[in-house]
Amino acid sequence: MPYSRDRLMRAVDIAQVFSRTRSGTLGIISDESRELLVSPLRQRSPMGIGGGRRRNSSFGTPGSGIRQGGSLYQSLAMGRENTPLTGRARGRGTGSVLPSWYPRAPLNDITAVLRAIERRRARTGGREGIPIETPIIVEDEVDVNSNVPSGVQLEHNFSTPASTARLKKPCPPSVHNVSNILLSVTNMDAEESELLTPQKKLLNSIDTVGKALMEELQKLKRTPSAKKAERQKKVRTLMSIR
Amino acid sequence: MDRFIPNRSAMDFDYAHYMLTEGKKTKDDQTVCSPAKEAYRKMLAETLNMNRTRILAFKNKPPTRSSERTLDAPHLVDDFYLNLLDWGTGNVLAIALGNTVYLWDASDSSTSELVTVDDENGPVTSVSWAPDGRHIAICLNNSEVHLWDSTSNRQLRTMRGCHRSRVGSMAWNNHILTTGGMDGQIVNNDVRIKSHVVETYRGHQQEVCGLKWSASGQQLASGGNDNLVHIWDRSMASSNSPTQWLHRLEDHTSAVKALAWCPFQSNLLATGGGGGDRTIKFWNTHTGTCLNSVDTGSQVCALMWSKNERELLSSHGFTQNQLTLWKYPSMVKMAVLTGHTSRVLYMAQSPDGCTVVSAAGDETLRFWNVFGAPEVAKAAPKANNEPFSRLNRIR
Repeated sequence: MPYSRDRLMRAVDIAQVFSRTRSGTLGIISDESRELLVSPLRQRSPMGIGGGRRRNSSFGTPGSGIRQGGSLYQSLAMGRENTPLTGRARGRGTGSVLPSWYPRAPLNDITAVLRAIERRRARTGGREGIPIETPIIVEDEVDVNSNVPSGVQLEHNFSTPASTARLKKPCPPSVHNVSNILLSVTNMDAEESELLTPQKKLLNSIDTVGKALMEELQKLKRTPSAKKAERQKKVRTLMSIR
Repeated sequence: MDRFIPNRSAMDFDYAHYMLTEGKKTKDDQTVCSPAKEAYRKMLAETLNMNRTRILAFKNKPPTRSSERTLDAPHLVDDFYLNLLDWGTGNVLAIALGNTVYLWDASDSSTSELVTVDDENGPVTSVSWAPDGRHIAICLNNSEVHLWDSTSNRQLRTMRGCHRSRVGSMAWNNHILTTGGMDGQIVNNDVRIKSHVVETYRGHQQEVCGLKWSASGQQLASGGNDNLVHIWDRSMASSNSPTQWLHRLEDHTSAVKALAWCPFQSNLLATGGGGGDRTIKFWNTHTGTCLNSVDTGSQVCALMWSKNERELLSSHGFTQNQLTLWKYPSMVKMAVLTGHTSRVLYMAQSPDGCTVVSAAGDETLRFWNVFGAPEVAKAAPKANNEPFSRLNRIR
């Protein structure tokens, strides 16, 4: 696109232009300083001066080069050393080692992610056939499913120790619940394994266990014995102050 | 590096304890021994493997190592003929991903974008830092060469018309930027002057994919898709006739992209051949003779000499996609670095010479601490003052 000539006379700070002319110790002569120094003042050879952009027309070849270049890029990488045998056609579409759902960013540090994938791959050894690729839509359904059974089991387990009067407690109710939660999670895992990635399963189970524990703690706080103990503590503190 | 650190599991601690505490006792009563007794003692010691002086043991097979760090490199162009990775003396890594050139500062692991070119002009086909570590040259698919100042992040100049098609390889020699194109031409550009083309080397019939100046700046090695390697000498330049090569090396049977001048021996050049050749060859660039040729078994994509040791690192393609560390001149394999799942097309070395970065079509950049540090405290063997035994267990 042709640019209109700048006909206004503007004061040019020659000193500043000179200081910017050559960059660094390498002495690279910059295009803009060349234009500023030469173009409005006098005419040189018709070759290059008068605006860097006009140079495009004076060289016929880069135009054809651009068109050539464009088509070359379109048609993948050509040349004997770039045969499809070298792995481009096989495997995943992107050619990347990362799962497709992982957010890509240039020069992002992915050391930990790759190590985790390698460890998981080494551990499973492909027996479950869990692919790294996974549809993300399934996540929501699974979450709902996981919460319901564990909640139900919590209620069930909690009622038993409270109702029976035993001298020795085999194990505190919270441990029961946690082990049951873990069992339910692993059982669920076996059914849904082909839809979840290992990372997602881990996250889901962590979430479930965390929620269950929080609920457990709160329930313990609300029991009459706990409330009684708390009240006694408060009374003792007040009495000591008195 | 761990080659100098003894390996506990390979050590015989009983023997070590014995040698440190009681090994000297045998010397004292040598005078009262009869020759037969002494001979018997010697043979016994040999059979029981007790006549060695070294106690420390080192691993003696090439260790397989994994990379220290991996970075994501989306849209890295998987093309053998390009050179998209370079590590400058300012300790900044430059990598071209598609149409964009990114700079990664090794001192603080920060990433910045230098430039994104238009789709019709791109992708970027080669990047090369100037010797000052501040300026950088970028070539586009449309044959333009852009010069940038990375500290001020501005483009200084565009050089057009030196090539008819893309430029896949570049090499700096002070103020001369040498560009090698798909048109087979090699052009010396003086970046200080307006009409930058000062010299053209004609000799290659196909794309120039490897280009390296010698350390002295006197000789230029070029490798092409025509399986040829040319050595050009600056003293042979003449303005009238087209510049003739000093040597034309025709031994390779595939494209030669991997070129590396030896840092500790002048006039020694290592070259690596592509998929059909798979060899590393060593040349005397004075005489043009081939000193050695080693079959590596897979496509050689890049070569790099260690600055600190007499070692050579090569990167390969199908099937292992490995980096191999060779001892020079014995060409014994010292280490095999695996991890890439696609051919390791691009390699660069840190300015301190300790770390190597490799990039592959699997869209990852991997860092390897494969070259030892310049000063390594050698582990002194805890032996008594006997002369060295014939059993040498250090690799």
